[in-house]
Amino acid sequence: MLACRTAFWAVLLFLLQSVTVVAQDVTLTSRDGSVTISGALVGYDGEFYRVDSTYGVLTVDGSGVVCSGPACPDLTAYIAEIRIFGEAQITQRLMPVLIETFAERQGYSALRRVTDDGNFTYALIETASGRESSRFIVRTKSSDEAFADLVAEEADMALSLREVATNEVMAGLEAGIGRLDAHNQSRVLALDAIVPVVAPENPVRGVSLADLSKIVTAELTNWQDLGGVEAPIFLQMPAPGSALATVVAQRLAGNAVLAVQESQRHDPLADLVDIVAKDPFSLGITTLSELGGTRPLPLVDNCGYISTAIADAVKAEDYPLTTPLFLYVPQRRLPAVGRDFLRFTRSPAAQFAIRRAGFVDQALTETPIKNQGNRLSNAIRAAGPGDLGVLQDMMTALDGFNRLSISFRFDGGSAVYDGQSRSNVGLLAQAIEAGLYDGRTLIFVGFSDGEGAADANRKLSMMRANAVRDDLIKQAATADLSRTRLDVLGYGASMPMACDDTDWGRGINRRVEVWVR
Amino acid sequence: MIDRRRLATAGLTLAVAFGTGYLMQNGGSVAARLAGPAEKANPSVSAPAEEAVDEVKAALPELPADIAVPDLGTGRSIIHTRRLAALDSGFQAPVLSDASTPTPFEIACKPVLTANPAPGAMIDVQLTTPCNGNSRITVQHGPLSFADVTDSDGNYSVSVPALQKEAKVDVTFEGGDRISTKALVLTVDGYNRSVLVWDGQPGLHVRAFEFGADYGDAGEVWAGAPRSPEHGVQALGGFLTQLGNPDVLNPELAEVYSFPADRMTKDGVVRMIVEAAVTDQTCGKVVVGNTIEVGADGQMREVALELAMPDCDTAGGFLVLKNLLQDMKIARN
Repeated sequence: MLACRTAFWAVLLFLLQSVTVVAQDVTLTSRDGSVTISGALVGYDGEFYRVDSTYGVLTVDGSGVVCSGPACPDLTAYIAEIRIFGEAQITQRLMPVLIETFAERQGYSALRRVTDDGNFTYALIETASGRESSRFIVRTKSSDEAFADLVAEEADMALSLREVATNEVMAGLEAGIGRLDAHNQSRVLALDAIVPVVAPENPVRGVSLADLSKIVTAELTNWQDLGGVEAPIFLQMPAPGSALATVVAQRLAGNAVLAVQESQRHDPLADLVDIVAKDPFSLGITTLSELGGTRPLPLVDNCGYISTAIADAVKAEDYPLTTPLFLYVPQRRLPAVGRDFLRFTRSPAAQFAIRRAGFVDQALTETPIKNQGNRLSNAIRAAGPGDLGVLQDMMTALDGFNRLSISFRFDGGSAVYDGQSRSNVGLLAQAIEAGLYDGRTLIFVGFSDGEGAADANRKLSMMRANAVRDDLIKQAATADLSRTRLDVLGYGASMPMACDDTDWGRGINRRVEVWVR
Repeated sequence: MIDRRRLATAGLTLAVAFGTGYLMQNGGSVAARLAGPAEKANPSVSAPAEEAVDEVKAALPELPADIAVPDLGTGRSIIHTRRLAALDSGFQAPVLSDASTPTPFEIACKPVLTANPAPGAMIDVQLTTPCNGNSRITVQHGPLSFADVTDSDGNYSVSVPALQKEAKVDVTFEGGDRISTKALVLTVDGYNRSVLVWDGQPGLHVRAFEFGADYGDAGEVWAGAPRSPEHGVQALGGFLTQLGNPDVLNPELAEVYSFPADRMTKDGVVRMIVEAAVTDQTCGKVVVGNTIEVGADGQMREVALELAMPDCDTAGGFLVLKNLLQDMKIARN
């Protein structure tokens, strides 16, 4: 550390000899007075100064310098500030519970300073001294704005309902905040799902994804087409421009414009579900976290598979319309309390808080094979003559194992997985590093969709299982892998969870499950 | 030490007043406030002022033995102590709960506090404090606290929504003296509760909208349509309890919405709103308080709150907060 700093100062010293320093709002002077840096103070996190100097943004260890100038922070009264900006659902519903739980766990008392629903700050106060030690500043903004603020260094965390876009990653790279899509800068905080809902007394019991797509694009407009009465469907949708509307358009309408009258667009979702609950002719598109008094419609397909938006199905991505809540951080070092908070978001206490706020958590849980009866009977029912032998093999191999609550989903014909799955690798890697699976065996079991020959599918499923295991080993860098056995198996299309006649059905079937003993 | 000296100073001031007879004879404002209207004079409530004087006497080394105890008794001791506080900023309201000291009328001063479980997971609190008539008291049940005033006989009763099965209730008197009691409220688990406690600024309200109700609907529960605990007992819906007295000095108020979550026959949601009127009195100020939520799991979530009221150029409107208290998710049982 010392050597490193000395080298740094040496380089600076060299630079300083040729450059006249323009007086700016802070000047950092080394203890021996030999080196100074001036510039605009970008930040101080209690340990490090960040100064936008003529050499670019420099991070300087505060212990080695004296600060002078009008913008110098008061070191004794330093209060760490973490600015968290993003979507209303996450900032207003999840963040309060999460920050309060974090404060409690860290032994602080929390004081919530409220301006309005979308703008509030939590002060974390040391219980013994009454001193305010840090602040979490929370602002409700669109995902677009939150990413822009992150790039402009006006936010420390961005909360989004969508993954960061390529142009935003590029802007971030240019601004020097790192790669926002890298696994150490993005994470899934919690899970939610898009859910079609109706009034409790509505007689319709299910809807196919294909029909749902037609409903949101106004191609299907009568309840009769869903097995109901002859009456128009009043579609109640999230407000246009909201993150959810964008995600719904992506997932259900192939980004087509959603054809809904203004009177049937709602913000917040609470208004939407209140209307649907009272109107038997309404069909609403809402989230699992905001069902109100409505009844969720299960998704059905042509093969008779039923997918219901329940927590377990969302966690395992067996439900096709899951929507992760993403958290992004810049590459720069956050104040210690910010780093602690990020670590906390993965803890069991945080998972409990997430459930309490009405979202689906990511705690790793195990389900015994005997509770998988529904899936097995589905598989046996759908099995061709060659499949039964494979199923038998599988049952023998997995005898005594439990299925882990997370799984991994892939793009068609490839071993590239989606956002939630990428985050799942991180979660599992962390659990293995923490020794949660010491002395146990994990089997990564790959499956494919039914497109293509059985042999190729088996190979493909094996390849996916291997890809997940390899990625896991890479990410669990500090794990002692001699303590946990990691096996792979591949069973092709033998245990489908959905019909292969649609894209989403094939997407559900292309997966790697994790079994543990 | 400082306190004691201040008390002595205050006592000395009084003693001089007594000695000259100035206090009772002069029609000046101080004496008038201390004496109060004659028709309210009531022997049984004269005690507090008397007690105060006794305490003051104790703090003085030498008080003339022949001094007659003046009858300040008016039953307005709250005003009395307030006036004393105004006379001397260092004045400490005397401790009033010495059990062994009877009033001149032989009534024991010892306050008695009882708490009993009541329908709707409520705690019926009864306070008898003969020497503290018309006194400001603070009632506390865990993080739920509010200020009120005893009646002229020193009696006070209130029904407080229980937040815990083993419910402790504290009453704190003006001088800082405190008495406590407990009640066992077995029905607590059946109720979800949302609480707003604040420093008494006018115009703040908790509103609950049950199962999709809108403003003015039957399912809207608030101070203007609070219902009663009986509503909860019969599993018809929630009810609101208003606690505290806005007219006491430094008011502390609370509103509690209770919902019988364990006996509902339908799924749904109760939306919780905190509403604050932006008036000339409240604009630009900071409301200080706390929120408390008790869910179906019995877990209590309590957070300190500072609510910044909008600037005064927006006075006349309402600040509506939909996320200060979480909506209650109700699942059919």
